[in-house]
Amino acid sequence: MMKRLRKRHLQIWMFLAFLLPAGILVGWLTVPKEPVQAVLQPETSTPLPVVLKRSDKQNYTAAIRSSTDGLRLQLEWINKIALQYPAATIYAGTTSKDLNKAKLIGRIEARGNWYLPLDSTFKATSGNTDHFILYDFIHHQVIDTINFKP
Amino acid sequence: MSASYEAVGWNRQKKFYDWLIAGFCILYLAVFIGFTAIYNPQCTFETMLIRSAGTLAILLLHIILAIGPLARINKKFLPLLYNRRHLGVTMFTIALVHGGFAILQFHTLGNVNPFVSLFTSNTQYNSIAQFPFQALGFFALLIFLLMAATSHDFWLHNLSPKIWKALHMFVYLAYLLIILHVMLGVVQYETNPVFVIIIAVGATTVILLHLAAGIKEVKKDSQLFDRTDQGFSYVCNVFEIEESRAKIFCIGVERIAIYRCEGRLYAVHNVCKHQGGPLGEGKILDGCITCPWHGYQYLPGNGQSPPPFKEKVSTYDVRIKDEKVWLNPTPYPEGTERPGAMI
Repeated sequence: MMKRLRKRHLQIWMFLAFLLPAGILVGWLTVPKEPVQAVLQPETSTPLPVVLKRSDKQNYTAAIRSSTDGLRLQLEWINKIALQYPAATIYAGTTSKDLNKAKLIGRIEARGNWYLPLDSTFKATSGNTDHFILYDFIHHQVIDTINFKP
Repeated sequence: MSASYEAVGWNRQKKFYDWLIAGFCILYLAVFIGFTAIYNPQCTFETMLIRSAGTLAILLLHIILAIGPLARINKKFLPLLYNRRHLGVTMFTIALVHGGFAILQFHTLGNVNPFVSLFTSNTQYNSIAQFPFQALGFFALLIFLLMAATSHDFWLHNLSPKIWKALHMFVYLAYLLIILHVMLGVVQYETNPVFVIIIAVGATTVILLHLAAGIKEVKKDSQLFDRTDQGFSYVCNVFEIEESRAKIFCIGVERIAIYRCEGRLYAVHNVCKHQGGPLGEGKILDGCITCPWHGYQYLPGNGQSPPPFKEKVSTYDVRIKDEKVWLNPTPYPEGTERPGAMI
């Protein structure tokens, strides 16, 4: 190796010795405080026994389920065929396509059955229309909306 | 080393390393995909492939970047340097699988060109946490593509070693892009700190190795030879140079290797014409100085490659007085015959 090239290598690595740790540190500090993965990907659970509402689409079926005492609610998501999106999030909202007013329910992947718990603030009353939004968080676009008619 | 471009001659050592690389990669991918299938059965095969190929490519990149300084710190690592190019092409192929499947999975199912989608699906370039990290990986892959495509000696010869080396030093930029690709990508979506720890340990190791090797080389270049006589500088005693080996001295602008061969000392320019390998760190094989990097050979008396090869390096005058070795750093034109100094 030429002397000039050796010197350039050392200069580059002295520069990288600052740049790489800085990049790692900044990346680490900006990791969201909320555990994104844990919130979006809850442990797989078993379906609750009572089906309150069901929406059947070409590629998937969604249902709101509850326990027999009605205290626990759950969104059932069954992919009939693989989704065209490798991963997506589901939001619950009162109006369609308004993510700002919607509540994050969980994350699903392209295949499989998913049972996402709905917290106590969700009311699946028979007189309301419940909206769910299927959202592609990679491309930041709404894929579909699911409306459970009363 | 070749007079014309022919198919690579695979020797036993090269075959062994290639099988080792292939075996390791297959084993890594199989274990990664197997464990994912057991512990995360909902994961699609495409996702498993993207993740396993991505992690394997980063691991190989760290190994590749560590080989250069390791070989400069300890000669035992030179065989790895000899086979680094194949490891580099393997790493690119695996990174291509990662990038290709990622584009296929995330960007080909819409009505936008996948490459347009790659840069326009997320335009939050002003955000760190939401930064479009895939673009960083794309540019790194582009650099690896250029490096892999020009890795053959044909390109080295046609681009000239200077341009070729400059092009291949872009690997450092690619490494930076890859680290940011991981830190602004998967790390932002995982709570497990293991990713940050692995990346930090890997980057620290590579940085320390390069700095240690670089400082060692600077020290070697800064050695002073202040005892001079009629243009000759005293460099060492005769017994300090082993038979068929050399010692390297930096007098003036470049390094000179003094070889001991069959009772004589010969001085040649230390830089190999092929890729700038350190000739003084090689040894005499079949009567020729043999470069430790890729085996290019030169005759010690005149610095010429044995026919039919045409590479030449500069030669120098060396003399011995009272078992002390004196070297004249003024180079003769490349390939000039010098008698050497009788021990």
